[in-house]
Amino acid sequence: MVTVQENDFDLVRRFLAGEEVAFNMIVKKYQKKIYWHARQMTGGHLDADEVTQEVLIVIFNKLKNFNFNSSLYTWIYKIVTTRSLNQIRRKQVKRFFSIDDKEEFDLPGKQDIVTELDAKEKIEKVRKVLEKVPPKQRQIFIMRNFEDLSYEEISEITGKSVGGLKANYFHALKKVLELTNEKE
Amino acid sequence: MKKNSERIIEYLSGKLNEDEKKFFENELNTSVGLKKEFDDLNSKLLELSSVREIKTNETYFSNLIPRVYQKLETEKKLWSFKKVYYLIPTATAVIVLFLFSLNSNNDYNLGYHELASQVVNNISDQEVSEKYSAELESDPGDYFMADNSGELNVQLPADIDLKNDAYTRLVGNPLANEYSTLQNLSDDELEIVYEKLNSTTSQKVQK
Repeated sequence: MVTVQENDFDLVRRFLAGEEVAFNMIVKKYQKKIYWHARQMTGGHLDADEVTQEVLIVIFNKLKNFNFNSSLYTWIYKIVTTRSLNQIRRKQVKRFFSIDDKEEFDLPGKQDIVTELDAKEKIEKVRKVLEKVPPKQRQIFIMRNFEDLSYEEISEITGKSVGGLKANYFHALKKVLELTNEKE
Repeated sequence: MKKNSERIIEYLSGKLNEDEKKFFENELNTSVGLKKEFDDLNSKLLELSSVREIKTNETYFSNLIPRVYQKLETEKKLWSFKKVYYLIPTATAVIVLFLFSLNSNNDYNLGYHELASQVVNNISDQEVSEKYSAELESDPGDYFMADNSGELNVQLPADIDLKNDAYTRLVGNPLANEYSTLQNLSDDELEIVYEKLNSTTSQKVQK
């Protein structure tokens, strides 16, 4: 039986051999994960879309540097987490130099891929909580709660120690639960 | 004692060691209050996590690949444009440097022309008519050796090339009265000086 990793490696090899369709398959496989991580991190569709496209372009351009030592999923995740944090930083810097006090998170706009009212309410609730959690803690919270990643996997992606991640997740969880209680 | 919520969060975040974990799990099985708090917190987290299952407009994802390719194409074009963008100033810089080098070469030549002019201008008409024109044609090196007594009073420009040191020594220093000193000037340098000197001298003679 072919494992997920072997399958991914095969796709990478095919892409490196010039098969563009292999890249399309990688995108199809991971695009939602990429988008939703970026969406939870940045809070809005427009930012998430920007990050997602950026990540896919990086994958396309840098896949030739993929060393097959880690899983493709971890490699992609590293790019997503870095780009999402960068997007938040960019916005913070813009906000710092901006006269008007804009939100760090995108405000819900007309342009969104979530269209159902109930779903919109749910996602808005999460957005309001996450925007108050510091980005690094938010990152761990998202990876643990929304993506079910183990500390070991997160450690490989972020390069942080498991102990440090546990401490970060503890604070994130505490903050999230406090905020959830406040809202009730 | 810590509040239950704190302990639950510690448990959920994996901060408890093995003994603490066992103790907590035992208590969770026996304490109704702790179990209720635990379930409450867990249900809140599950509610937040439920966003994973929300429905989205799939058109966005099916359009993603073409958009990425479009962006890659744009980046490629932009890169080509950037290459031109960087090439133009680079080419301009090269041309400017080339022109500058030509210009400085002219200055270099002009320096010798000026030097030659000054040499000639400080020579009296009488000297020219009596000696120089004929001697220069025969052997300019010998001529300079013969007249290297300070009479020529050469005023060298301050920015003159170092190579002219040899010439300066030749003219300015009475001890440097060896023909070999002239040899320190390159053939081109000598040619420039003497040609100018010769033509100007001839003009003076014709006057």
